[in-house]
Amino acid sequence: MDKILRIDMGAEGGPRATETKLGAYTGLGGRAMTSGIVSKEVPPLCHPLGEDNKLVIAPGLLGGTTAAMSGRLSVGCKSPLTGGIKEANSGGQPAQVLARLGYAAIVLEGKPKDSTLYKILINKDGVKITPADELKGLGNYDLIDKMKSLYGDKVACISIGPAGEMKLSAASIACTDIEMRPTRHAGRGGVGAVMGSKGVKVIVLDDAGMKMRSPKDPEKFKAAAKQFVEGLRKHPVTGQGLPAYGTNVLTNVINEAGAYPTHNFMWGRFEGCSAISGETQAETETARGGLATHGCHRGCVIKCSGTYVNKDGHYLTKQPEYETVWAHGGNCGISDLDAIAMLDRMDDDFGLDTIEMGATIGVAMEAGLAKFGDADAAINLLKEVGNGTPLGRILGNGAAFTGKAFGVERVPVVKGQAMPAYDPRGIQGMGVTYATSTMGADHTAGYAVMTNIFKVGGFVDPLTPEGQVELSRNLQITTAFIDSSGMCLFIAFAISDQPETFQTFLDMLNAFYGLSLTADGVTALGKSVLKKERQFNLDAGLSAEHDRLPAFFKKETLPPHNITFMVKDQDLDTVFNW
Amino acid sequence: MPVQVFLNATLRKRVKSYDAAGGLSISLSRPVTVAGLCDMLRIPKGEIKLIMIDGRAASLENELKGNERVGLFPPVGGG
Repeated sequence: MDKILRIDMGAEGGPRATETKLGAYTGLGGRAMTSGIVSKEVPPLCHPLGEDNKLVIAPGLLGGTTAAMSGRLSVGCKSPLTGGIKEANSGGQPAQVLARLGYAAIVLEGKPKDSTLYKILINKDGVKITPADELKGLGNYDLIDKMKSLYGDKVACISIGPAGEMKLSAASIACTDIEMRPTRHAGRGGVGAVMGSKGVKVIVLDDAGMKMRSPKDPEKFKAAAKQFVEGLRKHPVTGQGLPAYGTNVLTNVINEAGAYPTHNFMWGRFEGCSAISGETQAETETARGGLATHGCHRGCVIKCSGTYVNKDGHYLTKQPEYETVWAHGGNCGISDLDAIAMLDRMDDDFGLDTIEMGATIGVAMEAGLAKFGDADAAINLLKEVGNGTPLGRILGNGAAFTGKAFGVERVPVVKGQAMPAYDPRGIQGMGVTYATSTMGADHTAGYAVMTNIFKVGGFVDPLTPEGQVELSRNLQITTAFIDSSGMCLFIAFAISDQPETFQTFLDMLNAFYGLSLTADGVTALGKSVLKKERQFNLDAGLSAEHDRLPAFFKKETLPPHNITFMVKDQDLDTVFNW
Repeated sequence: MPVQVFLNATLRKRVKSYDAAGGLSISLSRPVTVAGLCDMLRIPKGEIKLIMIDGRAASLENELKGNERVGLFPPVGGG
């Protein structure tokens, strides 16, 4: 991982690949790498779909090593959805393969001269970029089947569906999983539209003939990696809860807490939640011959995913995540798991962010385009997006765009990006992260739910404004570091509660790179990432006024607790004062 | 009025033919702590990490008078 692959899609005579040394980017990985390159090389005022934007794809610092959980991929650019900097994060196979091919990042640059769509193959022999107009319009599933027939099932793919080709702001970038299905997505912020604007349909990564990356101190690294796995297995969340029920175990938890956004953020509890809970989902999968416990990439020991099969026992989609089940479920008044799984499958196939699309359909329902609870109508609305009809293109540009098009006031977005599955009135710490994150409304940027609800890393009462700014600040800093390491964010449960597991995480990094990183170093690196992202956003025109929740969260009370979002504006402005 | 009790995740296995949609309806003849309720239901207290009474974080020592909604959870996480 000592080089960067740059592909100028607008070069004279066709796309041109060059390899550069890491230079100023030495020592960076994942989000630190993508935000490092974007903040230094992309003009903040550029058009996100224009020639000056860059799409940066980077494995984390531990990508391509034997460390468990190290398969996260960071995708960065200026976001067409938020107008600010973006790092969208995905599981699946590509990060490990890319790292073993020796690349710390792929950077897609420039603007194609015409509408030709390209395919990029990267293997031990180098990089091959070929026109691939025969792939135009293909959904991710058909596309990956074609790649499988051409390159076998041992490769990993990074691709866009029709939504990315149409440059819609809700378009995702798909990453293939262990079974080589396009089920893991860098979902948020319209990164798929930027890949589409570069004219790239698919990147095929083949690491045949390449070796696992080797640590500076193999013995120490091996010992730390082993202890790290033991730490994850020992913690009840990473060792038992997540494997058994997946992330959707949260449906009942967040609903019970009265913070489950229902009918487009109207209420905090959903009466149909039992039918779509993680418990019901796991039972359904097991009874039908699917899988309730499965990893999204090789080397995952938490295995929070699964395989969702239809009533006839045939594969439909991967186990939909909690956020997806909420977005297409309770948020739209839908309590039919099969319909939600179908919507998840369609999102993955068209290449769309499930959170943005669920929130958008919620807004569309509020606008009267469909009735809350009508699963068939939701499926039909999503089909419009895949088909690229004028209505579909409005919806495919997200909740904010749709709200504007249909004159809806209750639109749950920050910086244009839809809120995920936690109402900020019921979990006030989450509201601080939504408001102030450099990413727009993003739960993963500083997951206050952990301490507000799960009592991991202490407890801060979710229903009062006290302590939320400090909680969100510390989580945002730590998260920026974890996102740079290439580790799955779910290690946070174990490393927050178990100091010895946090230490083994550092030991792995230190043994691999010959460093002497301490907890202070983690904080410093996290802060440096956030500082670059904040500066990019300021220069792009996003100021304190954009670090706010929509007005209705301060005016409308949320049942059952009947409270508003109470953290004061001047306190939100102190999140990044450290 | 009875207390409505919702069991979640692995705790459901502790009560035979638990009805996930409706939960359990427990009539109290006198006030009881959450710990006492767990004893009545034969749910090992060590398996419980999160307790919510009417959607608010609570502990084993909190007293139930009747008419409350109680949610019990083992350690959970996700996101």
